[in-house]
Amino acid sequence: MAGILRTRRRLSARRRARVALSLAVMTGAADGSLYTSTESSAAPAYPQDPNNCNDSSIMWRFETNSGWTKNGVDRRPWVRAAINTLDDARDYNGSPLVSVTEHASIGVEVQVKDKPMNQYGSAECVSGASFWVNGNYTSSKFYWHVARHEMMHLMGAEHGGNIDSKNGDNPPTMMTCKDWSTFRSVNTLAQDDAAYLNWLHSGRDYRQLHANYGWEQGTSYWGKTAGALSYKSSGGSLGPGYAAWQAPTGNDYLYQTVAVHTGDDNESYRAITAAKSLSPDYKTAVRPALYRRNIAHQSSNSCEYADGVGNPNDYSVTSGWVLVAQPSSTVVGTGWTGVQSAFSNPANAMGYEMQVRIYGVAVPNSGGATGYIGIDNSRGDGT
Amino acid sequence: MSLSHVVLRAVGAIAVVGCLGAGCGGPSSDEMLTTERAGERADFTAEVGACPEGDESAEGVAAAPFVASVAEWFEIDLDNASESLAGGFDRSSTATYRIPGSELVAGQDSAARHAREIQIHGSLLEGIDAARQAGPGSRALIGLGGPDVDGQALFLVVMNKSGEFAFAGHCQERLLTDPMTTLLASQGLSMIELVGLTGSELEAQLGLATSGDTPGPAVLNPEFSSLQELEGLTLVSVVISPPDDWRAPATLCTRIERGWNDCMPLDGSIEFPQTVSAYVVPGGSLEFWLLDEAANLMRPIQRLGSIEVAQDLQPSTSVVASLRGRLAPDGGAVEAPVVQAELATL
Repeated sequence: MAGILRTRRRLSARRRARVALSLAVMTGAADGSLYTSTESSAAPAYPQDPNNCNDSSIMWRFETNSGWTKNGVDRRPWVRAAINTLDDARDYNGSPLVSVTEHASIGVEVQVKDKPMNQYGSAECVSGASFWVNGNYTSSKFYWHVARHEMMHLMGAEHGGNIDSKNGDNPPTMMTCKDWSTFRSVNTLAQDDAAYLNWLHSGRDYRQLHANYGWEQGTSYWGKTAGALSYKSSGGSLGPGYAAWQAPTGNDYLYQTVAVHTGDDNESYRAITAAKSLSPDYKTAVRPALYRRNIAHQSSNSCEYADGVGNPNDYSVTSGWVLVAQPSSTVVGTGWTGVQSAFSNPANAMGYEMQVRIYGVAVPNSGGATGYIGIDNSRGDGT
Repeated sequence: MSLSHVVLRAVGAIAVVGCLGAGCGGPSSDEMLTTERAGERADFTAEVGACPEGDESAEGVAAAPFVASVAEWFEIDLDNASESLAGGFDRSSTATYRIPGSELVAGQDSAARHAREIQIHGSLLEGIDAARQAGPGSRALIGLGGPDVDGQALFLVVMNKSGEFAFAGHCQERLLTDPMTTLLASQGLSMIELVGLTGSELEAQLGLATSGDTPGPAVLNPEFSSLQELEGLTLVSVVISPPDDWRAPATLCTRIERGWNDCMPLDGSIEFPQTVSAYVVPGGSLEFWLLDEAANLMRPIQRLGSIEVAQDLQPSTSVVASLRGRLAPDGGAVEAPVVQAELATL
């Protein structure tokens, strides 16, 4: 399992202008990677708003065009299904992070174009938001990837790498520059897709690094070193869902890893969670922690990357796990309590795999086995 | 038979090139080569690969993997191609055309000429005229995709006798010709050396072949280590207390024989003491190392010392370690390092 690749950076004025013209202008990389751009991580407002490319609620429609049908097969159902998967991403409280609604005649026009085979699609968000896909392909997975990719551009997402944090070499939606044959064969959001939509559109302060951090989609994307971990569908901190975990010792932890491609950005990060003891008969101590591994890109390719990012496809990691931020353990009672570290600025790197860990143990007041801890809204976030 | 033999034979077979249709008034081959020597791109590269005005935006696959996805090469019979396209073609759409030529496989004799129905974007077909204009010895080859794209034409590349090449079609100068020129120059290759190659052979030529990840130092982490790697190990906490004046662009890591554990930065970004995790072998030793700011495991700086781990280690154990010595301001070494530790139970 390897980390994911996303790039989030502050847009320069020059870059904003370019994005305003087109969200995705392929530059013709020679070696197989796509390029990136992005997104401020420093301000509470989204800097891509002026380009109208950071929408969390999008109404869309199909262009009327006979090109949707080729060899007797209508491609629109594939495109529609891909767009609808974006509704699956959930915020900390279980509400959808984004909304996509098909309409008969208004909204983003989804077009099909007859293009040479190396041109997959493009999104436009200035003079009438629209995107197109190349209608010369016959595989459903081509349309799943390209349609979701272009729609995510309109939601503010930029290009990432080809390795998904959860699914290894199954590339996330914002991968680019790779041949379509590498696209995933399933029409679902990858972990990185969900994490990216959280980064862009979560209702919590700062930029959220991780997916399903509100535990509203069960225990998806989370791992544990030991102990029983289960999903509770009601009684969460800010939304209904949360995790109940019986850690055998205080050395055990829950974890989730994502990767961010920061280029020459210089952000600060912290670890944060909500926790409570599920019984007054236990003394429960919790501490979140955020660790990093430095990502090294191969030498830059001829795809265009902003902010000093090299080649986020096929990156390498040669560092150990380094602690970024961690508060002291906090004893929590039976009510939800926020536990968080201070923000910390790690040594610069081309990017990081960011692993959030939740340490905790519920020690019985009168002997016996350890008890359950309630865990919710667990993540790393960035300034 | 070498590829060059195949290519030369193929070139010989189409050595007589007429000048049909529009564009006969273009620059001669000699003029073009003169231009090329002056450091400018040959004229035909831009002519056949420009973007339609106002329609330049597209993203997709990079040049090398796209070219590498070719399943079959088909060399156009330029002498007879004009008849196939006599009815004209729509430069903005894909259609099926009956194109004369022959399949070309590296290391094999050219197949017999025949007319083949090929589904191709019309803008690529402009390359046929360009090949004619490029003078004697010029060639036009179509790269065909496999069954997963219904054998559609992926690209059409034009080459003149001196090996200069251009990919024809909308925006292909930017998307294919330019990056392939750069790539081939960096590899010391010419386009002609790729003709007829497919699959792993072509990927290797383009530098796309994966030799497999070079295994780096083992890192012990529940998400990235296999169960086998962690078997028999006990996860403990290590509370580390370096001297207060240890502030340098460096990191402090622990390791056991099986791999590296967590690290903590010494750059002042966090306060001491801090607790990190470590996998240990009961009865084994836990080493403390100084690494650079990135915790680059390929180049550990200095082993600071080690402690022996109790044989009867309990899973709830913490190792409380204190370190002494003088850390160089640049993080390059610790003078007279000492590591002491005791066990505690949470």
